[in-house]
Amino acid sequence: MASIYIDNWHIVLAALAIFITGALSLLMQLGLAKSIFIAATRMIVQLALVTLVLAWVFEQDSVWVVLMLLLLMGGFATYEIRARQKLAFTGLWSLGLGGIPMVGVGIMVLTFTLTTVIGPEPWYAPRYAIPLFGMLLGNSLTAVALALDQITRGAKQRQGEVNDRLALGMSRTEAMLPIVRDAMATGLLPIINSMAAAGVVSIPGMMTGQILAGADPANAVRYQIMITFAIAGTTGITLLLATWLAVMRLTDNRHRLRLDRLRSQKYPA
Amino acid sequence: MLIIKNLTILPINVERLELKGGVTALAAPSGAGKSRLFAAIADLVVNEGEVSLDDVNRNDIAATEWRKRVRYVSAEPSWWGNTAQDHLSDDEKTRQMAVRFGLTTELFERPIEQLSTGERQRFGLLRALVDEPRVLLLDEPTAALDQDTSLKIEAELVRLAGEGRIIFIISHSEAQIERIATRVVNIIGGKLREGKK
Repeated sequence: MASIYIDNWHIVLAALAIFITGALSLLMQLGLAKSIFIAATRMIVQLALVTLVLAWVFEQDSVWVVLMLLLLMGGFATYEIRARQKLAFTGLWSLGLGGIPMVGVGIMVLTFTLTTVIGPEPWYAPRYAIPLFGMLLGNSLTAVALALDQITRGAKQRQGEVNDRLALGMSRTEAMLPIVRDAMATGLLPIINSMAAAGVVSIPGMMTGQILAGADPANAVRYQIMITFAIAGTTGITLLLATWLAVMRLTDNRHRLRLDRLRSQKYPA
Repeated sequence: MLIIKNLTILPINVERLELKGGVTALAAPSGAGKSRLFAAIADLVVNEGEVSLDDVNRNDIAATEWRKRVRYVSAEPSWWGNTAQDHLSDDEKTRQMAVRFGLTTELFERPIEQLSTGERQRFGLLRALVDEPRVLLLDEPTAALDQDTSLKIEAELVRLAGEGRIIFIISHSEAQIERIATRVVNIIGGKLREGKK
């Protein structure tokens, strides 16, 4: 069974609810009409552009084109991580420290999932690779942004504690451990929550999509479980790497706390 | 012997300072950079300078090892566990030193936030002194203590100095300096000068 076709007039119909919200906002002078209108327009333009890009990429059927698109997505996600930090690392570390582990681990888990779990033909089939990578990236982006924000703020707020631990002869990793633990827990919370709520509180997005598209619910559930495991794995490994790198950058090889390697930035940027 | 040469940590510049033993007091007004100098000697902040202990240059050993020998104790200790016991080992040596500091067994298990400032300061000293580092850099160790308890800590410092440890202490109490210091160093215009005892 294929999904039911939606033409453009039906989309206008679907926009009715948003028009009503906008009209009410104007009527009640809530000042939200403009931002609702901008956000909705932005979504339409972005998705229209994505359609063009996806159509082109699907046509090329080249592993390099797919890889380029993945890296582009990774680049956007990397900038997004930096934008969500109150205290960013100085220089290119502000991008690389979160971005490199996230994109690297994401591509590895994606390759593993495609070649061993799903096995499409060819293995890099963009129809599978791109949406899966998007989900991996979206989740580890949130996790890394939260964890790095927590670790840099923690190092600053709890510098007395870290310095006391260092003064007692602990190594930099030992001294930072309580802060790293908190940062890891914060980063993993969203994925743990979404696993716990899956099916009971929320029907996950990909599963919803597949069911709406007419897929067998049992198969949709299997896909959902697979992607959730892939997301949790990507997030966990990325967090371990990114927090370890953050500790190495926040301290030096003489095991000193180096808060001078952080700078305040507008938050959210 | 602790030797400090050409150590610059603004606004202080130490050309040469040798500490052989005993209790040396560092006397200077607030804001002269005393705490930062101590942190620099313990290599906790970035600084240029040559520091060695008993002919071992600090750059030749791991920083963790250096700080086991050269211990900086800040004026306000920080805590990461729930109780003082979480920060200390459960052995006879710790308990004996605690008794000399006037800390009862019951206080070890009390939540940190229920301890008085003075009790926390003493636990901070106990934590830093119990593994007997060779050099102690003490930043106002008795600032939060009453006279009686201060005297207990002072007695312990004199005992440790008598065992051959090098004690360098920041103190704003002239009476305390008079009681325990064997040598006084002043900071004048960013330079260290021998003071009068």
